[in-house]
Amino acid sequence: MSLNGYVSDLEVGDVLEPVTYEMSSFVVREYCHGVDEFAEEFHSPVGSGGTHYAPPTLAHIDKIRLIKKNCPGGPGPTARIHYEFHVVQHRLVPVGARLTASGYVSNRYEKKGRVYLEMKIEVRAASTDELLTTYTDTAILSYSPGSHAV
Amino acid sequence: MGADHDAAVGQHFWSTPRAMTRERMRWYCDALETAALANGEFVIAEPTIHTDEEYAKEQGLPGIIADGMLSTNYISSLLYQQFGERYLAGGELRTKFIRPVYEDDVIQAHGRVTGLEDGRWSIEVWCQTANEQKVTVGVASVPVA
Repeated sequence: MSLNGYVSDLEVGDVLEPVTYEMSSFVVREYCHGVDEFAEEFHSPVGSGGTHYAPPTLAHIDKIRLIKKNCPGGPGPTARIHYEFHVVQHRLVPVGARLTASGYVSNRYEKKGRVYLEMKIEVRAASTDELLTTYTDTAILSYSPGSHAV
Repeated sequence: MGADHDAAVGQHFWSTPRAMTRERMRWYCDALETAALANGEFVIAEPTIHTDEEYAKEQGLPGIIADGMLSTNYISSLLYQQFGERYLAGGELRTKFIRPVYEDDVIQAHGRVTGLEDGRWSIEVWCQTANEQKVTVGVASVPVA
């Protein structure tokens, strides 16, 4: 168990304390502005049936939320580099939904001198426990010249 | 956008090219921190390899580079434009960041439908620079109905 320190301290099997939050319109709009997502369905409730949609890529914010809660020391001595993003959407996530994100460290390995950390995250409806999103995130814990991950 | 469009195996679709300006890199980092804090306050992100030239060089980079989630979002947006709500409700997207995106690189997201199996479209996705060098590659799938 390597929680409450740096991300770089995390070990396989570490279970992150879950976070529960509301998918607010503020969060969705801010994120979408930041990524040039201008489809109006992500900015106001004009989707099907008057729904305000949240994009699947917001799963990445769940990782950030979990890291901030479980690794208050931050990334560690060197920059953390994102390597792979993998999201599976099981249900549409609307603005206003109350969600619980949980996760654990599923793999940590070294390849070509770089240390990779893989986390598996699930996002469920807080009230029903229905699975909405599955997210696997792989990061390189330290950058070294010649690395191609960003 | 947002209507459920049909697709066909072999179909190739792409986004508008975007210059990866340092403002886009910073907007993303600030939005990421603002969204993670989620209390209604706007956050200016701490210096990172995406926003701070000196820090990026200390980390061995020639300059700031874009967060890989920017190109992933360009791909995700393209999938939404092509497949609408079906992508949001049952889509899958996997991207890998194979080369850095530097300041002022012009990035374009692409998708090519590669198959139809078990009621799902399979799509090869990528982002490339103006000289057609791939920087982000991946796969996606979206339910047909």
